[in-house]
Amino acid sequence: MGWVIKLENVTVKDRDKTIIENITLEVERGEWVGVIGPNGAGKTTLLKVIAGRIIPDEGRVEVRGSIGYVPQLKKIDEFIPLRVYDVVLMGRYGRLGFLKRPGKEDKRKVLEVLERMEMEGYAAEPLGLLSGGERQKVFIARALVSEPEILLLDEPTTGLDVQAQREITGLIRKIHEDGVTVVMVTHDLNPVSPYLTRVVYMKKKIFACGEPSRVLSPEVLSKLYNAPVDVFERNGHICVIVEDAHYE
Amino acid sequence: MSSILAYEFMKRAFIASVLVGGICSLIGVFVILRGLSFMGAGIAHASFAGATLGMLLNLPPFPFSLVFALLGALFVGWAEKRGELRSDIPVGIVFSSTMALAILFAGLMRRYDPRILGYLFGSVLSVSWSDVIFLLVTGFLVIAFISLFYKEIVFAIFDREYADISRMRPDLFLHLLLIAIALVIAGSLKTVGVILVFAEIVTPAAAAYELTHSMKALILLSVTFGILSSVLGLLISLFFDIPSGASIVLVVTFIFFLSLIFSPKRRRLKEV
Repeated sequence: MGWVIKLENVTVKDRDKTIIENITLEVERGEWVGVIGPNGAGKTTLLKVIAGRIIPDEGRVEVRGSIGYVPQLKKIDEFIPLRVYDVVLMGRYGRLGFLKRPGKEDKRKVLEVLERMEMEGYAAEPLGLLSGGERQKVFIARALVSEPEILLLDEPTTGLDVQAQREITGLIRKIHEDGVTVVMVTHDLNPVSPYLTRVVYMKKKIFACGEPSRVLSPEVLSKLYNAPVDVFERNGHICVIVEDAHYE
Repeated sequence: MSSILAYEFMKRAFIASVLVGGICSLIGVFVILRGLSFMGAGIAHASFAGATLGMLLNLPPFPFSLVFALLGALFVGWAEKRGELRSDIPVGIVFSSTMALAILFAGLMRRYDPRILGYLFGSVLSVSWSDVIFLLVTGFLVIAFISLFYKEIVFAIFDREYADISRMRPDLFLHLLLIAIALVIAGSLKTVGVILVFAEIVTPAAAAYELTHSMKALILLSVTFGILSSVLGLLISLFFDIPSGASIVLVVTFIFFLSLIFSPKRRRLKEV
């Protein structure tokens, strides 16, 4: 299959503080990689390095293919003068480049993605009035209209209710099945563990990396979170319970 | 109305008021969306310090006010980008230090220059044709910048991070926006004054923000409110013989309160 993301000895510092250190990682085409770790582990920084938003202080980053990025869900102004359609259309801007205005093809693509996500009825809705789960779907749609080969997601299910978490997970699963390589930062592996091809555990450095069933062990996770961790299997799902852990 | 416009200075005053109302309310949309409302006041004070320096040196105040406004805007942009200071801190520093400079320059003058008061509170009736031409050029530049780079500016304002990942140079466009704001403030200073230019920028846009969820309607409404309040304000000031800047700002403030009362957004929020 060949790699689409390759990081070699990547280190990122913020003045004297090391954010991520000596990360070496290859992601193969078609993989779905979950990145987990405690607060301040450098997970978001890792995604931003891959996306080209942060230039590492040391090491090399190579990416083969276009990137779609879904940032962490932030609180937004309810009065924001943007409709769902406008936000999703922004996903086309990078392809358009400077000075060019969106054309028929861009508008068609936006409506097509919204339809595929069963959100066509939301096109004219103001962004600020949507629920957290709906907004997250809008941001995923925005990433998808750029027709990415690699999708980077930063904690896409954080702060959402169980129903919305399921919907988002199902959506990412469909996107992955369509052949998109997915790298996803999460602190809750339970909903996605059956679908992940690999899990990366990090705490500034990569702690462990491999297939979920092999790497998900109470010993590795307890060390990662500095707390007792229980791992068990139920209906094919690997469940992780961190006791008294400090979640993000 | 026609008898008022028979006077040359009144023609200039009306044209300048409409131009200031239109340009300020246009750039104001991006000022409030970017959360830079306080910055307008900071740049206006920097611009005022520049004008007083020009007067102190017996040189035309305008080029100095423009340079100071640009330096103030770029300092705020630079400090914010470095991330070492929250944006309200550099704005606060620009605001207070340039006001101190303005007082210092005014104090160093051998004789009090009456133009100082004009720059502070605005003197629309003393606007010259060259001021009007500068406002026209500023308006043309600002409209051209916003029309050409509308998508880039909106993208940078709403999601700087995603715009950066999409290689859309958000920092460049946000800096250009700051320069446009500085240009508008320096150009409007003589007409409406340091204290009121801030209201001309923020209030029409804030009123329009209450009424729509669409960016294009927001721009259209803001510019309409800006121009309407300028014309109405100037007419009221002439008929009742009151200061024009104050009357323009009070009219736009009245429009803002009407928008607040009839805001469909707030009604919808209550229903939700």
